[in-house]
Amino acid sequence: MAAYLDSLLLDEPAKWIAELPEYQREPLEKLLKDGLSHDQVAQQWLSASAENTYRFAATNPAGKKDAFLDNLKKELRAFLCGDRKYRKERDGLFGEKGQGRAFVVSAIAVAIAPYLNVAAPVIAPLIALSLASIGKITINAWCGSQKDDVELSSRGDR
Amino acid sequence: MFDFGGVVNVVFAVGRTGPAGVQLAGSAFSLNKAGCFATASHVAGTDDAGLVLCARKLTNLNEYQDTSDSTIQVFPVRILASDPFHDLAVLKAEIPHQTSLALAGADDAPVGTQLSSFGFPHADHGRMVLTRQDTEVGARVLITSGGIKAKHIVLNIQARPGQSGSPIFRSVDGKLVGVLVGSYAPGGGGGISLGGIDPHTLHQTTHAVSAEYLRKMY
Repeated sequence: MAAYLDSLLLDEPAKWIAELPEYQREPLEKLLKDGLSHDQVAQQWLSASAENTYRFAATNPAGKKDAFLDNLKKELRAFLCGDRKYRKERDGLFGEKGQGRAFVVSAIAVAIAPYLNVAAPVIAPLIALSLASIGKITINAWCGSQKDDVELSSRGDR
Repeated sequence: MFDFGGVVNVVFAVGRTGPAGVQLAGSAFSLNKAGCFATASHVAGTDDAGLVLCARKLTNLNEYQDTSDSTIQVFPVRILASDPFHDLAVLKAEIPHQTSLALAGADDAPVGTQLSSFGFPHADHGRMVLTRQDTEVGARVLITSGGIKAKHIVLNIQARPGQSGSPIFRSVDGKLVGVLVGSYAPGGGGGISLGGIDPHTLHQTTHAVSAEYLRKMY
């Protein structure tokens, strides 16, 4: 079931970024080229704010807590490693063979976003960065290498 | 000079619905694609739950806006695209509304260019008055955000909370050149607050990000 996603993961990791929409891809590629790690780029995306500029919103924007990236990674791990709550979305995604990385990133973002109280387009680049950081490895091998710090509501769905 | 008479159908307030009603968050404007609107990403935030556009019934900007009338129309929106590096967001509403907006950018606004902005100053106090401000480009600057440099326009005018997301047009032809995002404040401000006002923001150095970055977002 996960063979198609494995084929994407075993390919060049940079392609996860390369297939994002241009407005997301360009700054991420620039920061990666500057030598930042995938995690550092993700943090830049989350904390970006024009220097020496006081924002004139009328309220404090919702979302974006310090632990946000950690929480996102936990949800991504739960999604990829077979948590029951994502079963329907996983089955849907893995049944869509031949779809590109942009589709995979978007589908995962849509599945995870409600658990993080964010809009899917906001986290799509973070999903792409996280998938790129996994490196060339199969899902099962990657899930097996993860610390068991996520309580999966069900295993064996892989 | 460009006739901005139709701007009442272009610029809207952004709000978020909650148990106490709608809390205003900033300004937004209609784009040249059906149902698409732009604002600052820090106005939209990261969660689009309860996010709405707010409008009053106005036929033109010369009409007296009744500040005691709290009746507004709201349209639910979702975040279609968000670019925190350039502080821009595109919102999508399930309505066919669109404009013939001409999208330009900071490159089209040399120093001295006459500009007109439309937004909702003092929205943090619940005031929803669509307000025009005319000014000129004081400088063009590059401002770094998250390690990415972006073109900005310095507007020689004071702005207030609620104006983030306001469109900045060239007064002569109505071309969109920027989106208001805030004002200069050392360190981003927030260190001192007197009656809810940061004294560092009480000046006429307002920042608008170049509208050109919107092009790739919708």
